[in-house]
Formats: sequence, C-alpha cells, structure tokens
Amino acid sequence: MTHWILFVLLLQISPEAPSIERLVVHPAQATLVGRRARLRPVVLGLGSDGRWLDLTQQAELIPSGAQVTVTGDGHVIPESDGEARVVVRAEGREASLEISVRDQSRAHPVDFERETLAILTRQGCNAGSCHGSPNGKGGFSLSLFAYDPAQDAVVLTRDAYARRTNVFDPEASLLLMKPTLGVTHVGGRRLEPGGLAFDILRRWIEEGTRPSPEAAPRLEGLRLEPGPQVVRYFPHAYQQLRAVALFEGGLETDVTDIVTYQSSDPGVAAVDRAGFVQAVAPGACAIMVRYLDQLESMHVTFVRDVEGFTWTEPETDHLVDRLIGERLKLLQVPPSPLCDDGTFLRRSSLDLTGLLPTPETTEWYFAAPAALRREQLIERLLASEEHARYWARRRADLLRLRSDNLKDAAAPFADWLLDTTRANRPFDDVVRELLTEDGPQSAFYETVPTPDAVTETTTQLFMGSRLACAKCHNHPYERWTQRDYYRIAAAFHEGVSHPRTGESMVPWASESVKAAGDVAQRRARFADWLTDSDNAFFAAVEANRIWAALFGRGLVEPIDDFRSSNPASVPALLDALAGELVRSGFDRRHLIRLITSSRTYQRSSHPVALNRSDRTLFSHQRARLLSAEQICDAVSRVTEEAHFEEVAQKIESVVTEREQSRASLRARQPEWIAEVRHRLERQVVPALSPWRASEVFRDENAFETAFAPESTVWSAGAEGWTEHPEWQDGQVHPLSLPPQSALYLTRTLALSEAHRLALALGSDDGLKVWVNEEQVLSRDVARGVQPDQDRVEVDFPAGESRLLIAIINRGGAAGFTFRLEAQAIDAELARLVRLEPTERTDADRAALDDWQRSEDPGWVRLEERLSALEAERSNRFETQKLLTDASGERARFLETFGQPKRESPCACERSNEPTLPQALQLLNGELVDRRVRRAGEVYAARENEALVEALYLTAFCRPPNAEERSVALRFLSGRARGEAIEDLVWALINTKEFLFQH
Amino acid sequence: MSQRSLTRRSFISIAAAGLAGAAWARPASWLRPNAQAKRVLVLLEQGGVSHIDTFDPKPGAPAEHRSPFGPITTKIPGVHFTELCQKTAQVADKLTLVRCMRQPTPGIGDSHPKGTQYLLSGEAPGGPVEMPDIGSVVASLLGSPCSYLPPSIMVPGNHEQAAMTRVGFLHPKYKVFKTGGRDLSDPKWSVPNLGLLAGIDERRFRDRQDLLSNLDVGLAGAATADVDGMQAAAAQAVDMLTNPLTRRAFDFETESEATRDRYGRGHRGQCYLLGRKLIEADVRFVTIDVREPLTKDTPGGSNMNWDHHDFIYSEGSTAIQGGGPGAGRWGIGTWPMMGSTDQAFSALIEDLDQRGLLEDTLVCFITEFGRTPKINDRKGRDHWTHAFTFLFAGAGVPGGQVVGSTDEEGGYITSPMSYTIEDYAATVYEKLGIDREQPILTPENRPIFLAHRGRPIPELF
Repeated sequence: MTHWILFVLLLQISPEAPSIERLVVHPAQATLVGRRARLRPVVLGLGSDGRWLDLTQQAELIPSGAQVTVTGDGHVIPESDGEARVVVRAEGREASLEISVRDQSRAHPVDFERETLAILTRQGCNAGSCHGSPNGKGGFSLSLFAYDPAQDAVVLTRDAYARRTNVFDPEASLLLMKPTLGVTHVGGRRLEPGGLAFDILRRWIEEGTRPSPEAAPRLEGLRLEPGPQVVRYFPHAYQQLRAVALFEGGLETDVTDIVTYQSSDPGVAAVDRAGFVQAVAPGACAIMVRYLDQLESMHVTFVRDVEGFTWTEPETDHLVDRLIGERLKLLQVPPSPLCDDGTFLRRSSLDLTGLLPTPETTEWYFAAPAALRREQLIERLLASEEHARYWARRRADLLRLRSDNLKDAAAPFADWLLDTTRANRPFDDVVRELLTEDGPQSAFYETVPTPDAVTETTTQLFMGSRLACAKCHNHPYERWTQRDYYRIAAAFHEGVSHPRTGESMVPWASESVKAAGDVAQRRARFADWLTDSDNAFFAAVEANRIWAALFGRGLVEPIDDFRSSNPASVPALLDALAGELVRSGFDRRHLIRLITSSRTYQRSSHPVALNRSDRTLFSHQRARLLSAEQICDAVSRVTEEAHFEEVAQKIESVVTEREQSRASLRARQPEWIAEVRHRLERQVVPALSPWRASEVFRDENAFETAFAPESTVWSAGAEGWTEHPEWQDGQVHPLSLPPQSALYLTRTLALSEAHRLALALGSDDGLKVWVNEEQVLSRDVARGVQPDQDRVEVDFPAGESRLLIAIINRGGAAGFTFRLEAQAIDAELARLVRLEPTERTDADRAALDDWQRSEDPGWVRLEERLSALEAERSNRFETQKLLTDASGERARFLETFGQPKRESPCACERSNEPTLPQALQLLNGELVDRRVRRAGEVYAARENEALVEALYLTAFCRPPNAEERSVALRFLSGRARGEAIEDLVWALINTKEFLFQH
Repeated sequence: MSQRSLTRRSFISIAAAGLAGAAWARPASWLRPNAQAKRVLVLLEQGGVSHIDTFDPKPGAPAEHRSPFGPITTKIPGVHFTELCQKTAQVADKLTLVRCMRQPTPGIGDSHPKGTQYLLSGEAPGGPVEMPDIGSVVASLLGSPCSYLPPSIMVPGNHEQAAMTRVGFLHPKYKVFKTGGRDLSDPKWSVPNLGLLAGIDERRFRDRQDLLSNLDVGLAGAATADVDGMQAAAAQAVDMLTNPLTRRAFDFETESEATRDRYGRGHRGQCYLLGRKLIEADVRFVTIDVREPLTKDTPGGSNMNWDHHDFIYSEGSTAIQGGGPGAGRWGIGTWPMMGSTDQAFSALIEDLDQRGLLEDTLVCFITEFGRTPKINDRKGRDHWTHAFTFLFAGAGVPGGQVVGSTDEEGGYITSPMSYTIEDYAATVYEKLGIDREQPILTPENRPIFLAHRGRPIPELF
C-alpha cells in the first residue's frame, strides 16, 4: 500500500525522466597558464523535453594525454606543457574539451592583489561586518572588500608586530591561526586547513608576502558561464557556475574558486563558495560575482511545474503584455482578470492626477462607449492640469524644492518644473537644461552646494545609483569605485582630488584635467554623456520611475537603486520600456499611455489561486496605501465636494460683478481724469518720524500670536522702544531675531490733507501691517527679504497717523525693508490725462482704463476676491501643490502619512507603510474630525438615498451594493441627522477600500 | 505533536518571517540574558546645563568666574553639589555622577540641533548613514512589553530641538511618539488623538466602529501586507483609544495630591511625573524633553532652555536690551530652571525607588554639553564640550558614586578616565542587554554597529 502511494507520488513529480539528447561543455577550449592554474568545466545537457539541465556533478572527465589530470572534485589541472583533450561523458552522451598547457617549467608565485586579497574577500574577512568595518575588529582592520591594497599590505605584513604573517613559519601566522581556530577567533572558523584558500594564503606568506608585480596585466572584466540567463526546472533546479577573469592582452583565467558569490535573494537561490547555485524556491534572482574591482551577475530562474496551470490569455502584440506574459508563462503564474470600469477609473485617476475623480468626470466616463472609455479616460487625464501638477510635484519631492532653503528661488524653480511637465518636454532636454542652463532651474545647484551632494544627488536621480557608498570606499555591490565618485564630482566642481591618493581628478566625460575646461563646459559634457541614448542607466531609470508610479513598485525595486545585484524582476521589459522611451524622443506621456493601455495595468487587484504569492511579476495589481497627499485630498473630496461647488458659483458671481464694475468705471472716467488733473496741480508730501523697534517676542506660534504692542501702541505710543534713525527707507535692514519670534516697528506719518498712499514692503519672514489700529496687511510666509515684496494702498486721514508693522521670523535670517511709493504722479499718467479724448489712441485708452481700475478700491477688491477664490479652487489639493504650504494640523497629518521633508533625492524618503499614528489620525484625528463635521453641514440638505449613492460614487467610484445601501440608510434614519451623516462619512473614510488604491 | 515536528515548524516560521522583511531579520541570539535594564528613562535637559553651577561645583575658581551658588554637602560623603541642587543632594546616594563627560567631536555636536541629535542617536551626526534615535533602535530590537502604548515615547517633544529625533533607516513604526503639550500642569491637557475628541463619546465611537465593521468589506480578497498592517494598526489604535489603561497612563488624577506636589506643580514636574507613569506602564523607552512655558509669571521666558549665554545669574529673564543669544530664557537659579529641575528630579528618583522601579529602569540625566568656566562679557556662559556631567541611576548603577573629575575651574577633565556621548549610548544598549557585536542592517544591507565608537562606562555596571 505504502509503496503504491509512493509510486504515484513519484509519477506526479517526474512522470517520465526525459532523455538527454546533447551535451555541451563550457569552455570548449581553454589555455592553462602556470603551475597553479585550474579549470572547472561546466557540463550542460539538453533534454528531450527541450529543457537544459546541469550535469557537472555527474559528468565523467577523461583526459586523453599526460599534459593534464582531473581531480576528484572535477577540476582539470596542468601537468606539462602541450595540447590535451578531455572527453566528457554523462547520461550516455559525450562531448570534449581542448586544452593547451603553458609555463609549467616556471615558478608561479601567488599574486597579492589578484589572489591573496581575493581570498580574504571571498572568506568574508574584509566584509563590513568584520575587519572591513570602519574600526575593524579586534584591532585588525582591512579595507572594505580590499579597495585599498597598499594599506592592506601594511596591515598584513607590518602591523601587530608583524605577527599576522610569519615568513619563517607560515603556519604560525595569525592570518592562518585565527580563522582556523588555532587560536581564539571571535569571528569563528573561516578557513579550512589544507583547502585552496588556506593554501594560497600560506604560499603567499611562504613566498615572502610579496606585493603584486608592477607590470601585471590589468583586469578588464569577468565572464560568467554558462551564460547571462539561466532557467532550470525542479527537480534539477541547480547550476554550477564558472567565472573567468579577462585580463588585458586577452589572457583568460578561471577564477571560479577564488571569487566571491552572493545571491540577490537567498529566498530563491543559495550559492556556495564553489559557485554552486541551488534553488530554495521557484522564482528568479541574480547571482552576483565579485572579483577585485569587477562585478558581474548571472540571472537565474527556477521553475517548478505547477499542476493545473493553463495559459488562457489572448495572443497580444502589446509590448508590456507580451513581455510580462512570457515571464508569467515561464514561471507558470496565471494573471488575474481585468478590473471593472469603476476600479479602473479610481485607479487611473489616482495614479495620473493624485485625485479621486470629480462627479463630472465619473458621469462622463460612464456615459462614454464601454469599449472606448478606458482609453478616452487616459487621454483626458493626461491632458489635465492636475496630471501635470501631480507628476511635477512628485519630481519636486526629489529635487529638494523647498521655500526654506531656496527662499524666493523656490517658486520660479517650481514653475519651471511645472511648465516642462505640462508641455511634456522631452526628458533628456529637461535634464540637460536643469544641469547646464542658467534660469530658474539653476536653483538646483543651490540645493546641492557641495561636490559630494551634487555627485550623489545627480547619480541617484538620473542613474539610479547610490554612489554615496563610493565616497569612502569602492561600492560594495556595484562597479562604482572611489575614483569614479570623485571623477563625477570633478564634472561639477573644479579642484577635486582623490582623498586617499591626492590625485587631481579627471572630470567624468572629459579626456584629461587639462582638456576639462571651466565648470560650465564640464557640466555640459557630463550632461551630454548622461542623457545620451547609449547611457544604459538614464532611460531605464526614468522608465522604471514611471512604471513604479503606476504599479506602486518598480521593475527594479527600490526604484533608485540600480545595480547588477538588484536586477529587474522582468529584465526584458525594463530594456524594452527604456528603448521605447528613447525611440519616442524621451516622451514620458507616451510611456504612461503605453503602460496604462496594457492588460497588465488594468488587471484586478484580487489574486487568483495560483498568483496569490506573486509580488514581483505583476500578475495582478496590488492594493497600496494612498500617499499622504492623496489621502488628505481624498478626504476633502468626499467631505467637501459641495463646498467647492459653492466656490465655483461664487467665482461666477464675482465675474458678473466685475463686468458691472467695468461698465460703471468707464462711465465715471471723465470725473476721474479731472480728479487726477487736480492732483497733478498740488502734490502732497507726508512727514515721517524715524522707526522705533520693540523688544523681541517669542512664541511657538509667533505669527498667530497677538503680542502686547498690537493693542498698547495705539494708546501708549512707543515709549521705551529703541529708535532707529539710521534705517533709511528703501534699504534692506537685517534684523537679529531668534526662530519663532516677532519684532514690532512703529513710526508716525503726518499729512496736510487726507490722501491715498502706497506702502511697499519686504520682509523675512512674515509680515503684518496696521495703520491707525486697522490691519491692512497680513502675510504668513517664509522668505528672504526683497524690496517691494508686498504693496498695500491706504487712505490716510489728514493729520498724524500711526504705522505699526510686525516682522515675524520663522527661523534663520530676518530683516525688512519699507518705502512709500513715489507720490509724484507717474509721468505717463500725466501725459495720458492731459491728452484730449480725440488725441488718445486705443492703446492710450486701454492704459487709462487699467490705471483707473487700479486706483479703484472696489475693483481691486473684486480682483483680489477672484484670485483668492481661484486659488482656493485650483490650489485646494495637496497633490497639486509643488511647494508644500501646510502648517498646523494639516502638516501633522501629512507628516504622519509619510510626506517627505524633501531633504534627500532618494525616493525612500517618502514612507508609505501603515503605522499606529496614522490609524490614530484617521480614527480620531483633528483633520478628519473637522472635515467630517463639515460634511455633516454640507450634506445636510441631501435626501438620504441620493446622499448614500453620491458618497459611494465619490469615495469608491461605484454605487453601493444592496447590503451597503441598506446598512447606510438604516444608520442614517435611526439617529440625529447631522451626527449620523458625520458618522457615515467617517466610516467610509476609514474603510480599506477608501484608504487603499486597488 | 512530536518534539521534532515542533522544532521544524518553529524553524519554518522564523524563516518565513525573515523572508518577509529580509532587512529586519534579526539573529535569534540578539539578546543577552540577564540584562540589567528593562526600560530606560532619559531626562534630556536641552540647551547645555552649566555643570559648574549644579553638579560639579568649583568654589576654588577665580572670584570673577566663580558661581555665586556655593557648595553644599550631599548624601555622598565628601561630594558636593551647589545649593541649587538641595533636594537632589538628598537622593545622591542613589546616583552615579559622571563628571568626566566630553564630546570627542566638538565641531559636530557644539550646536543645539546637532548636539541634541548626537544625544538622541548616540552618534555624531553627519556620518554616511543617518542614525535612528537610540529609542527607535531599542524599540525595533526589543519591542515593548506595554501593548497599548508605543514603545518609544517623548514627553512633550514639541520644542525646537525635539525636531532632531530620527527614525533613519528603520521602519516608520519605530518613530518616537511625541505626546505634545505646552503645559502638562494645565488640567485641560491631553495627548492629541489619544483621548477621544470632543463630541465623540465612547458610545458614539463604538457606534462608528460598528458601522465601519459593517461597511469595511471591499478589499477582503485583495488584502496585502499593507492592508493587513493598516487593519492591525487600526485595531491597536482602537485599543489605545478605548483601553482604560491608556487613559490611566496619561491621567494625573490617578496620582495623589502629595505626589503631584512632590514633583512640583508646574510643567516640568508633571512631565517628570508622566515619565514615571509611562515607565510604570512598562513603556520601553521614555524621553523627557521639557522646558517651562511662557506664562504671565515668567515674562520674557519664551524659550526656557539651558542655553545661558547671557545673564546666567539673572533672577528673571536673561534678555539683553537689543537682543542677544540668551534672549527668551531665565537665570539658572530661578524656579523655571534649576528650581523645578531639582524638585522634579529628586522626586522622580525617590518615587521610582519607592515603587521598586529603580531596580530595572535605567535613568539618565543628560545634556548636550556643559558651559564655559569663564563668564563672558554678557555675564553668561557659552558652550563647553570639554567637560560636563551626566547623572545615572537604577538598573544596577551603583548609588553614591562619583566618576571622574575636572580641574579647579571645571574646564578640563583631570581624571584618567573620560567618557563620550558614544560611551553613553553604548551604556544604554549594554544595560538593555543588546549585543553590539552584531550589526543591524540598513535596507541596503549595510551593517551598522551600534555605538561602535563607544564602550559602556564600566563604573555603571
């Protein structure tokens, strides 16, 4: 019985072992140079089922001559000079390997850098967690992964009283005693006596701890066999690797046994020190191989036949679906079906604009023909201002675009970024302009003032390389060396030298220091190199960012950490998308369109039975938490939509009012011209007293706080305040103010008759202005001081008036400037009013109209009101602001949900993981509470049935189902109405369906 | 189930946890047995407390630079504090004073923001990796025995330098939780988001929960780790909001009048008292970063930290007409400064001791640096990184001990030993039984050795 079951099981696992049709051996021919040369052949078999498998373990190697022998563990080693053949036999098939042997009569000393240090790296001695850490371990400090051979030589041969290496008694060397536990070693056993690694170290010591010969050929590369991509099937899910070092002059050396192996995902594949890779689970990953400063990786895929797997997807020539499909088919993971239309609407609106769709868009979408609506929606979203703003904002996060560091340069930089995004300018042009041209975008260099900062930021942003590692040592997981780091730095700044060697660095993309030219030329050359379509990184990084924005996960993840040890989950797709970006002339919208039109993007977030565990192959969409700004905006959409409808109505009515005002001003123009002429005849000059300054007031919330002078100065005057006769009008006066403090300044102004004057002011940071107890200006800003940042016109009465201003410092520098605008009537206006009506041209008439309106308080108020309403409408959403202006509870909310502070170019600065404080904000936070209360008011007039319908459509882009409708209606009818609406909206906001994009 | 299969199962689940978050995987041997401390209470007195005027008196200093506050005897025979520390002198038998603290990298930590970050993270800021706070590291490695409160809490954590807390490369859930609060002695004070909002009583909150559980069905099939994570966070938040123990942990009404008086009725006293309450609730890592608020009784005191650049001995505001670096503070001898500190700190030590909490709670009284032995021309003292004093108690720290000494003016260390901020950090980790020989890994797999430039202060063990 038991045997019978076992038999059935075996049948299921391997129904019939396929026969081997052909053998292939890597290499087919080789040269063994030197006595200690070794060769590890790798043997593959092609099965009758068309699948390759590794036969290295069971293959029999039979040398045909005396020039070589074969060791018990399958290595070919040289015996004497000449030509030899090794016959390879396995599974009844045969192949052969031609070998020539040289230099057997010469000594073959150990090469310090190419062997000794490689061994120390391979054994883990100089890893960051052992002797390669900044302080070493136990007083023994090596350079991380041997980036500094000269220093390592000193440490190994001279330090510690030269006890680490004992030339006279090599085996008494600490270097051998410690890792073999001959004496205590905190790091444990690291070396097997008699093994190859031990033997190389011992020989090196015995031969006199010599440095590498000066003339040794340079290592140019590594080749991994059997190839860059390997697919193996269970139960034969393993592969022996072979590593070949490619030296200058064409010399190839088998280094399989002295290189260092690492698996990029130990959950998928394990690799041992001999280069044998074995599957842990089905999946794909990279095996990274390091030798000296070279790094190469092999992509391995392990497949287990999945029972019940069938492929039912339609044939497609869509780039994305084809390449994803190939991968899914190979790994036997079925994709999920497409999502429904409502889900697609919500998903694509959030991805492309950051916002839930407006009721109008939802209505339009469902009214569009079903077969076309998804495509048409994408076009509509791509063309929207919201799309440009949201995507520009995401970029602004990475460019450290902040008002507190860039001051007045921030807004123009943000505008430049928005303009380039709105116009969908070719991405290579945009980056070249950012790095090389003078303009608002030059502020980029202010955010990265040092050579280090500009090097690390530029490479991470546009090449996805975390070069910071290479600042102090060669990059541990990438080819970047310390030299590369400083060469890139030299492309941005003059006078950069290598910190270890002192060598003056040749700028990246320049031929020599001499030919490098000035900084502008260096930067231009670097930008050309960077954005060249041959640059493997540039297009791929941008394509990956776009992909990640649409799936919540990059093909390479983390999205700005490109390295051979972190391969793309679907490498062919990343290559294809990068190629598509280049081919389209770096048209980012083209790529978005391409991806969103794929079935892959449009799949449901509900997994099916066989793709539930897939996280990296995009067999289905995955629910992801909305970003901080998206949640904030989604909450306002669902709680305040009605309020914004009101705003739209108000805008309409102000526009009407303005038209009426325009007409009546036209009618009154002759009187106004007469009044201006009258003014021209007698001009009024005010008498100003010197400024007096108060003490400094401090509070955590300095701007909001009304300190004493705001009330006392009107009655008590400025008694005891410090007089500043030296403060001339029109000049900038720096102030020394601590963070979150306010300073008050006052003066009097005397006029012989009532008159309208314009005050022009500038401040660092906030500013408040009163005239005769009436506040005329309030600006809660963070900025550097500039003349004429604010202008306010005030009707002064005859006699003495008092002026009070408050300067509020948020932090950093402080200062202010003040002047009265020239009282003399503008010469141009004088000319215009003196003209007879018949002499005025159309342009003159238009100029007069403008002048008159600008002097009319009613008109000015209307204009202000209109722009405030428009700002409220267009700038109401956090996802739409390039510069964050949040304070108070809104700022706390956004910070809690992981809004980045914009201090780093790393996408990782934004965190999107759920946390306890987020749950507290949602369940019990002030912002949600305030908005939910507002919803209680604005929805009060709606009829229950319609309200529930509308709320579901706004929140989820779908109507409620029967059960949800009845639960909601029952809840609404059983309670006090306002509170019941609040509770319902609160509950909807707290559902996962609301908080997640799916 | 056999012993064998049990072992195998636990092995699989450990492996699975490791794969789910490879960067957070910890070796099982992380903890050392017999750790002396179960919790840590840090009193971060920010601004740079003048050691000369408090715990390291220098009566022999030249008259023009001498503190006006004379030495007094303490419970430790032969050891003196200044008269500003009367009450602390009475609990000195429970303390170890380390008078030989210094900053090895003064160029880095000699400013308040960087200096504070230095104290919070235990490592000089500006290294290749921005280090998380010690509290966040501890939270990530040890979690917290108190299920209804966050593992690392700062009280109140709303002053300018409290912005220097960092979670660095750790998961944001280990970020320090700041209670907020301008004045904890105000009966209206509550932790934002932690007590139910006005208008939402418990019945209504439960109503909402019921409604939510009926409606929250949409993503059931598409749950990801994040969806589950949010569900778990919400469940924990509901527990926090409705658990009577949460309210109790922040409710001063549960304390006797005598206790509240003993700590001092102002903001500082109540902050220290809250520190004791949170430790009592078994929160792993508590940091008190307090400064007295501006009130009508403390004119000019808009920023009362210890940064006494001007008029350090003023009996009120230290502000200089026309502004100066010392503006906003009060003199060191006043109630809002050393008065309330002496009161609160001594009460805390006494209280923890009486409750048996000193057994396994490490208490650290720390500050960025000391102040200059010489009085400057604005009658203040400036930053001094060459010698200053930290106080330690509990968790096996010997009582009645003085470690290290400084010269006649308090300027330079004269003892053979001297300790750094990194040594302080190493001490905290060591007391908690955290093995610093094992690196923690950043998401990029860079190994980080905790307080790797420091070593535990031997006299505290």
